[in-house]
Amino acid sequence: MSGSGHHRNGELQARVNALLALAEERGIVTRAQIDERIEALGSSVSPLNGALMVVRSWNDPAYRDRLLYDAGAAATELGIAGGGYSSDIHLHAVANTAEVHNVVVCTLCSCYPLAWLGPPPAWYKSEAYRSRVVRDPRGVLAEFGTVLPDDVEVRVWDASAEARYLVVPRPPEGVEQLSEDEQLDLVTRDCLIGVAVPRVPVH
Amino acid sequence: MNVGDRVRVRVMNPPGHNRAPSYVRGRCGVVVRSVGDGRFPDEAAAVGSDARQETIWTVAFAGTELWGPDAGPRDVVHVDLFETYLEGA
Repeated sequence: MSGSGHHRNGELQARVNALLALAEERGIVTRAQIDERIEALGSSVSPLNGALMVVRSWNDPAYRDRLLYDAGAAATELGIAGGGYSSDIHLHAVANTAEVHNVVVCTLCSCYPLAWLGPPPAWYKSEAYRSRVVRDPRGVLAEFGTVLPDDVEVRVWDASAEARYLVVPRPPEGVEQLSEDEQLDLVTRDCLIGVAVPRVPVH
Repeated sequence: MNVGDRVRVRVMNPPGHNRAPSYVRGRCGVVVRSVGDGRFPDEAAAVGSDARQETIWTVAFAGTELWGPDAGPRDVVHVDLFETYLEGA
């Protein structure tokens, strides 16, 4: 798999270079503009943004209500705006409960709530994840170490248009004994995608 | 179209860009939410920002509707679909 992945990356890189050369030649974009965009992205997007929203929702029921009603506004409230590159994007938060577990995918490409989760992991963009999680979500989650009881409903969110999904995990048992900073450490990128659940480390 | 409506994704195979995943074409689900408006992608791929705006609906499909009896009985797949892709069912 890694061999063919490398080959495909090489093909993709060649295609990107060809497109970039054409776009430059026609005056659509400059290399400097692209570098600027990549830098802006790298310095502001991180899964810490999503974790901040989740931890606030654990500790403030009114914020939780606002987050589930309008996640974009709830993000702005914490100073985490989507940024200019995602002006068409509507953020939607979906909450795990005792009865429901949520998990996010983009089967058509790799749509991802970049501003709130940072750059996506390679597996999120893999054909294996994208094709299997809609067909056998429980099996895929189990491979990530997340085994769900049979009576829990699994909701898969296939982000095929302008919405981006953020999973709001349940606060784990014992979370109230932790500081907010310690709580933030529990809410990993994988928890925000829905393939993992936060756990309080046992000392 | 509104939340609670039962809908079917149109069976289609257009030659250009399209954002209705094949695995839901021809399948029935229930509208659970309006996402808002977005530029209709089939058109936007050709004309860019001049494409018409259209409502996007989140449709919930039972796993068994998509994959038959092999699907988990409590699996639900939500897909965001432009209104043009949908018809009443």
